[in-house]
Amino acid sequence: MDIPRRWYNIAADLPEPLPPLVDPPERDGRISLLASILPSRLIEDEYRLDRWVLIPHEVLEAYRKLGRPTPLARARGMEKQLGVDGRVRIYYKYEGVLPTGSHKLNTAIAQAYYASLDGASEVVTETGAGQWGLAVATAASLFSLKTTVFMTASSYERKAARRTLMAALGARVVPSPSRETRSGLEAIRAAGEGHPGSLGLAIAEAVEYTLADEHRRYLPGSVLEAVLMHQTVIGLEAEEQLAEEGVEPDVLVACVGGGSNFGGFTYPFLGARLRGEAYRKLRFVAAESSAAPKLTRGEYRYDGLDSSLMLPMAKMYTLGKDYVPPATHSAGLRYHGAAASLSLLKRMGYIEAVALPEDEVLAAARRFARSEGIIPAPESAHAVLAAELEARRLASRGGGVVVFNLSGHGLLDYEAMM
Amino acid sequence: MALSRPGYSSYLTIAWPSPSEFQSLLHKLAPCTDFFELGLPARNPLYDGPTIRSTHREALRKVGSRGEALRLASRAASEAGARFIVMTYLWEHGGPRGLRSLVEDVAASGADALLLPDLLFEYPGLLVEYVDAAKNNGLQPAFFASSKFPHHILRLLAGMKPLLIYLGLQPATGASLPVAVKSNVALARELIEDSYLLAGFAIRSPETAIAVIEAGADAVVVGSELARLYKAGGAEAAAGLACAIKKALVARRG
Ligand SMILES: Cc1ncc(COP(=O)(O)O)c(C=O)c1O
Repeated sequence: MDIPRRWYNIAADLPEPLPPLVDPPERDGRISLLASILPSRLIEDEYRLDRWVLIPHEVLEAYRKLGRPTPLARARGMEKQLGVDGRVRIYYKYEGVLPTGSHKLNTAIAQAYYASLDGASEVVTETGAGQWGLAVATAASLFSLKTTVFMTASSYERKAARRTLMAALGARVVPSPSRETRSGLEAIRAAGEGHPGSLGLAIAEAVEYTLADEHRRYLPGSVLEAVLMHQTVIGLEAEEQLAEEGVEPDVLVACVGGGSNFGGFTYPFLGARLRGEAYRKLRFVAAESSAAPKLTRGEYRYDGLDSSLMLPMAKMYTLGKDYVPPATHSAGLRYHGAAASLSLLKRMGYIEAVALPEDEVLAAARRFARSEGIIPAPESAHAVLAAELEARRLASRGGGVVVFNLSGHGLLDYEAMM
Repeated sequence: MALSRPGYSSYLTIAWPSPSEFQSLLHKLAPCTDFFELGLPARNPLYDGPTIRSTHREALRKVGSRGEALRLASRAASEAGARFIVMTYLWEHGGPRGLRSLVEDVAASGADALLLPDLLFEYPGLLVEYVDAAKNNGLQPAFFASSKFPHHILRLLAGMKPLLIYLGLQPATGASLPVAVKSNVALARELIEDSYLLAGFAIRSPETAIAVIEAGADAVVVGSELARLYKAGGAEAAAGLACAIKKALVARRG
């Protein structure tokens, strides 16, 4: 199997039009400002009418070099361990084989390449667990760019390994809230030095820092539609791999932080379903953290993508842009909102969601490690647990096929396993 | 009545900068404008950029009610012998509950159509009701679509025989982000076949207008740039741009 040549833009097939990003009522001009924040070509990707968007040659080359296509594996050990073998088949798409250990590299490469097209000298971003920061630092090295990463304070301490590796790749890593930006200073003033940080706040800091120098570009790790689109390489490969196996899935499962691995994995299937071409009975299950349960407990409304309204507002399921989730091992899921397309599809009933508590998730991670030999990232372990639940349900109803996205490995999250 | 191809439209916010200046500005633009898009002053012009938003804020202070604004639009247009459509956000009129009376009022003003940019994004279930209400009141439906829009819905809209489909080229009026305008317009054209395609949100010169027409649009509408020119150089400056675009379109048609 080869790498897909095109990304899939689900906006072209949505049952209802996607509510656009808008300027906050009291804060004009955020949309126009995107031109000074994001790489130009990323903006182009964000506003495409096309259903299919060609992957640039340079990005395809990098995908190949870094190990795409990634494997789709049968989880026989997991089936046995759950006692569903013979009735339920479980497969997982494994993004942890990429050099930085997660799916984040799929869009980091495209975005760093886009920043280089703009003649930028530095890329800037936020990170929770460090998966996204590490992916950006890696992609930036490939395109000779400097990197600055605002890392949520709680993870800066907990995820020292990724922080060290980002630094080894040449990135400057700053704990957020920091004293380098107004958003950071205000947060410290309001909450004191013990602030655990949040992704919404770290984004605000990264954007503010980007705007201070025209040679900087901010790279978003999730939530924007273009980011979800870049991640569709996952689902497009999975679709072909399942076809090669001759398997038709009953349910697809992935975890949700902002929605990029979920959208990337499920949208090619969902799109075919929306177009009436296939998968009429396929279910789509989003596994979120009970520490940031936007899909199950949030409101569907316009809200800020970051805590300071540096970026425009999106219509999405949200817990409120100022929500500070409790510190957890799954820092990548500690985001207050979910991508607009995912939110729309959830509201319309095409996507189901389940919020999972961390202790049960980490127990599932250990079971998976012992049955499949892979230690999942705590974020990805939400998908493992949700897949277990779905497999048991299918087993009680005569069997079926569960496919989940294992978005990353947890070799650098060993503290979560202790 | 069909709109001319290629066509040029001027967007103005009703009663901006004041009722009398609005009227004389419309008059000045009329000779070069095929049809006007007139915006009812709104509290929250959701998809508009800073320039148009400020015209709404200023106009709101100048007109009391919807009826007053529509009478002003109607009078200004008929004195200038101009055709117009009315643009407003349904949200401003109480959402679904307000649809019927809004359509009736707009029809009574003499407008050709009522354009509700938030209709399909915020109230997609109201599509048929809107089309029925429009037709029952002698209006032709008009639709707003973004550059990130479901293809099947664009086809559906085209099948409803609208006066026009307005494609927002940019994410907000007046923005100039590096969007793939040409390929988006070309694809929209393919999807809606021979429906009238009006493109806006990014036009500020005869060159950008021609480029969009060449990509497949039937007409262009200019708003933010007219407001900016008016503030800088008065009606003369605004009319200068409108007439330059109209002239370029006519010259291209040959
Ligand atoms: C391994 C892994 N999976 C999932 C996520 C959640 O992000 P998203 O919902 O964008 O896939 C993260 C975020 O950092 C992550 O590191």
